[in-house]
Amino acid sequence: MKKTNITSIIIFHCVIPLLIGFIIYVLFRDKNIQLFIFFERIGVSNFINNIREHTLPFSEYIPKLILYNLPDAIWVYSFSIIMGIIWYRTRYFIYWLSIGFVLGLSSELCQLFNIIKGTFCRVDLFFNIFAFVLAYKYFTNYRRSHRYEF
Amino acid sequence: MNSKIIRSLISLFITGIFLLFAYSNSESENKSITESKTESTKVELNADVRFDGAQFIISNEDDFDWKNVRLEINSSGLRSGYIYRADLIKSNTTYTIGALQFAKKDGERFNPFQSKPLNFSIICELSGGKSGIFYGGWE
Repeated sequence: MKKTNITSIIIFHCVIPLLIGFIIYVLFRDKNIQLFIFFERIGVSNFINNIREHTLPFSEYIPKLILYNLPDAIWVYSFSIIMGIIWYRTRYFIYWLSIGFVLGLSSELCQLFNIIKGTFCRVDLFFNIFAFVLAYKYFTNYRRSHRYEF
Repeated sequence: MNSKIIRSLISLFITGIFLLFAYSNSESENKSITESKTESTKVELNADVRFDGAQFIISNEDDFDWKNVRLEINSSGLRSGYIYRADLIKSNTTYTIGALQFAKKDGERFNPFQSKPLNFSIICELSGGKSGIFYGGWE
């Protein structure tokens, strides 16, 4: 993989998706997550609250799949892409690529059996699988289109 | 150093960052397990809002207090209306707020002799990280 390719993959397939997930959590979701405790500790909660006053009413118009399921899928996708970049064209590629999916899956199962806090959701499982397949497909397509690259 | 070891160390480091990111977005308090996550924690407030021509009479008809309350009149879409903020509105209590106390961010006050209140919204914080929302309008 060329350096320029790696940078653009990281920006478009990791940083921007993660930023979208972060924005969903901060501006449109409820405040019962650890992140808001962190915001309070670093003294930016008033600033965040001011922005949320304008954005929160719009959360009613955003599909619940985007609000509640997409951020988890984004997490799995971005993580898989990063691992894919690191282990591209090695025999360990598929194992490391699967870690994001395995972590997402085990997190959901732990929620199901009340081992960790959170709410189990079957849609999240589906989104996790979809994100993993999407990341895998990205690398197989990349390999196909860059087969003569050294 | 062997490239496999370097790759492994970088991967573990990135895994740690991603796990930290996941932890920061995890719930900060216990919730019961439900089938679907799509259940919102937004609560529709039981409020009674009246306007007597000069003052707004707002009643909190809920059995819980509203905290960090933002009361707004005549908001439309992305444009914010005239806002009044209150730290606390106690449960089963009625408050009277003069119309002139509602102001836009640029300082323009709501003049009840020039404008008619068309809608009224309340956004507040509730215990347990929940948000309270009320929206009503006059014809």
